[in-house]
Amino acid sequence: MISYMINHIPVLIVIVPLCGAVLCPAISHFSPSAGKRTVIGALLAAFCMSIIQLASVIKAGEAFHYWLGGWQPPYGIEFVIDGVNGIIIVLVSFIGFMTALFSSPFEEADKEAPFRSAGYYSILCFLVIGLLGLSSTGDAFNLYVFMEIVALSGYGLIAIGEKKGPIAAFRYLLTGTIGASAYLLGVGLLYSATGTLNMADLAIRLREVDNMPVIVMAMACLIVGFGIKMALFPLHGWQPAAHSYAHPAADPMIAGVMIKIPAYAMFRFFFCIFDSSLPMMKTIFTIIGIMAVLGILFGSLKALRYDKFNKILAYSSIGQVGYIALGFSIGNFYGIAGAVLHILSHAFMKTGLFYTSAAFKYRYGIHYTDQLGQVYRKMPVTCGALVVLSLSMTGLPPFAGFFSKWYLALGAIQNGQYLYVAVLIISSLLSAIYFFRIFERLFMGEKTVTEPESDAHEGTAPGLEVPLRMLIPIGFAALMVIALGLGNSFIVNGILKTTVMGVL
Amino acid sequence: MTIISIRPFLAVAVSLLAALLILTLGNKVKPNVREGITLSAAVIKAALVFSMVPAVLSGSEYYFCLWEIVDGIEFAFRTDAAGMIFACVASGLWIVTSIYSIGYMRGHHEKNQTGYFAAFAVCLSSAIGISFAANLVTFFIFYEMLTVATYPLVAHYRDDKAKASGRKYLAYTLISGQLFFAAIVAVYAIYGTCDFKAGGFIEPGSVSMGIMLLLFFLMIGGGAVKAGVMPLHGWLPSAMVAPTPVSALLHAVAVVKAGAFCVLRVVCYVFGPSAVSWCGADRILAWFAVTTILLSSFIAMRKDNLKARLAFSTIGQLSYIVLGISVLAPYSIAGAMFHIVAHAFLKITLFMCAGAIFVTTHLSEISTMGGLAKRMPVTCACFGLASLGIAGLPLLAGFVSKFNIIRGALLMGKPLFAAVLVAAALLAISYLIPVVRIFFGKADEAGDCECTASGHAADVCGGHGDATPAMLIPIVITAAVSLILGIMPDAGLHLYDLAVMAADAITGGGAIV
Repeated sequence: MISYMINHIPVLIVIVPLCGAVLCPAISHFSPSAGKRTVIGALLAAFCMSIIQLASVIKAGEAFHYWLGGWQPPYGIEFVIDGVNGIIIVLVSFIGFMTALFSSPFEEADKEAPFRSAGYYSILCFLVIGLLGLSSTGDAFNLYVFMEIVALSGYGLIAIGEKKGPIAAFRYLLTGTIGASAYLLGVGLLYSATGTLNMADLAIRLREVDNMPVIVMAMACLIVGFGIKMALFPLHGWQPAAHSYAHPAADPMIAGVMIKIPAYAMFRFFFCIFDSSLPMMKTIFTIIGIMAVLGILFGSLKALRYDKFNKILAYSSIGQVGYIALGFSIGNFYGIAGAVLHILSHAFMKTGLFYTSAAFKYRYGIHYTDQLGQVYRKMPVTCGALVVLSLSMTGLPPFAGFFSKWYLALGAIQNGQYLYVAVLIISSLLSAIYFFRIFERLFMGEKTVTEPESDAHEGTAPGLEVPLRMLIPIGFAALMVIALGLGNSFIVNGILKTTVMGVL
Repeated sequence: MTIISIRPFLAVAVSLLAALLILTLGNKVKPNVREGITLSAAVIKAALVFSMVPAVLSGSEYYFCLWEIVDGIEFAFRTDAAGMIFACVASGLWIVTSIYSIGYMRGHHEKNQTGYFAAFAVCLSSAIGISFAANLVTFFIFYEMLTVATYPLVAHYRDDKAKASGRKYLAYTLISGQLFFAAIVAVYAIYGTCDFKAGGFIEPGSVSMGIMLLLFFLMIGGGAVKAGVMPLHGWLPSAMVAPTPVSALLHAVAVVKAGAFCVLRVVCYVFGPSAVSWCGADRILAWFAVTTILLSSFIAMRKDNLKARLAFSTIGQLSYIVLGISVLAPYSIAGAMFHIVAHAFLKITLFMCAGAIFVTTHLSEISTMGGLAKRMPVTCACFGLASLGIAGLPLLAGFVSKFNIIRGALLMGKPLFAAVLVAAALLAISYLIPVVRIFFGKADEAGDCECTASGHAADVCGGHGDATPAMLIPIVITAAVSLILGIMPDAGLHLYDLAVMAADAITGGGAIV
């Protein structure tokens, strides 16, 4: 039985939360708290299974193929788990679980009840499912399906946010649909050239295709599709509004993870499916590199202009996604290792920062950094985590952000792309400006925060700055940033080396 | 011989742990307990560091590797002779500064003391990490930690002036740090190693001269900023807004010495004397140092604020170290390393005196301090002693180091540098001795007016007695040590022997031509 379960883990990781998401509204009808617990429990189960899965993939030393319904590829859908997406699945399910936990104080404090009526937990769970499937799948069309699940649940979570949420959601809906269509078009073109949708099969058959225009067209479509989904400059238009107006409880997931997984999918297409040694790939990578460089500079510069905490974080994400794309465009082992490491570390950093931002909102209703005066006296743990996460964003050692930057810079220098190193440095310094400005306000602001009329927050135990259910995710995010930083070589050497080297 | 031992790591970790304890407990326990944590960590750290001296003196090295910090590079500590010198100075002076800090912060009723002591502990942890780091990446991690941990100390008062100084400090150190980072990555990409090696691991001619110069100056920039080499010194005088123990830390123990030590590591342990002289970087660096020494002395003369004058004196003295290193002679390298020790004790004495004067009398301008010796005889005497030491008078610590640097310069056939050092010693006399003369002179009218005007007439000019024991004892200790080190450079921890050992290892025992 156990071995049977283990064999089916790749699909169970998606199915179990799916059951939770579907059952949640029904159970909530009888007992809201039980509905919530179903989702949290399902996500926890997914997290545990993802760890087992990662361990067995590392132990086996090769990718694990799971055929849905026993249908063999190229006809059936398959899930392919290797070291890289194994660890990304752990990341998604972990942050999904944490975010579900983090949300519950908001639900209890929610007076106007859009939160409950919208089936918040169900939607959040669907978002996680979409991301899990997106990372697991080995089928190009199946990837589209999961992408749409992510997008649809994303629209919902953004729309129930602040007042401008619905507008931001609508904007994302329009842009996101274009992105998804572009992706679909790209896949369609590939299908027309090869007659298959299975990624591994695509990779083999594409080697024999001479019809270069079709492939170039497909690549362009894919870049646009993934570019929109991961908010890569100049396709980022939807992102700042969506990230700053989404529901504060779900924002960490949306901002921290939702834009990273398409980046991983992009890696899969450009390194695992297309032959990265083709001469024209050089041009493609240069184009991605230019987008990345511009995005890094644009995001960092733009973030300087805002006082709204979420806006700063959102624009900084545009820059940070640029880091990931930059790693892919460098294209050697260290570049890719840096990019994957940055997917992981930035997910924790951005999620953690949005957690802290949501905690400020929850406790004091603060949206703007200039209202943060001396808030550290009231919320020491949150602010401590904020400092760690921000220093990591700035790329200072010994936190995770520094090490992904190290690999990116090393890869760039090995390739002779010195401009990229300069861009990384400039971006670090720019982010130092906006994060240290936040520190100044946090620790040295003159206007101190005032306690709000405290009727909304019975959930806070006496002596705690925010409820434990919020404090734990915040603390974990900071700890993970430190752990990922100090332990990065275990990931790079132990997990990424075999997989990525196999691809290159 | 290499001894595998966890001690170097423990020496780094103990104050980091103390910082965590202070941060978590700080506001919940009594100040005495909080300061107890600081002091006990300081004592444990010093004991750990000192216990490694005998083995290092006998030619062994302690080595400890935690794990791979990035692919191919270990997170490792190694206690070579040069690192040992800096670690001994930093950990020994931490005890002294801690005692002094307690006296100063309480005497001055400072706010936010918890954060202050925690940041202090992180600084010291980084300083020991810097001295024991076995490779560039480990070094850089602690170097940046030091940058970040010093920021809250510089901006301690949290007013606009402190914020501006904090920003300035960050601008200088972060930019140079990032360039340092780029150079480290490039060196690793080219040479495939980052491990410090006495005499350097970069072969002359392995890359073109232009690229080597570029790499060298990108790297050295990180050190030069913290060491206050002009024109990169701008942050240092403005960091003076911080409380005086912080200035003592910045200008005597951790930050500027870390900068000088970084210069030493880069010149002697990464590039090595032969590569540096091949690309001509030593001459460029030496001229920067010479200019700094002379200019800073002239600026120091014009400063009336005691701390500002000391700050410019620091800038000059640090460039002695840089000059000593860039002369590349065994004697001058040994002298430069010993100057890390000598200047640390001398300058910390001066700063602690300045702080004691400020807390006791609220005076900060030199012109108002006439006749101060009557009220604070011990403080003023120690100040006078340390001033003479800075000027390089025989029988004081500063003499030993300067004499060696000059001897090295002469042996290398660079009499001009020797002349500059002699001239600078005279200049040092000219800007510090007048201060001492004012202390021991008559109380002038202006000073009294200042006192009355500032509203402290009753408890300042009318007050009696020297500084509190918590401030006075550290001052006397450091002054005494600078005297002892001047008479017997090898007393106690054999720091002079260590300096000679390190210089021998770097140059292979002979002068480089």
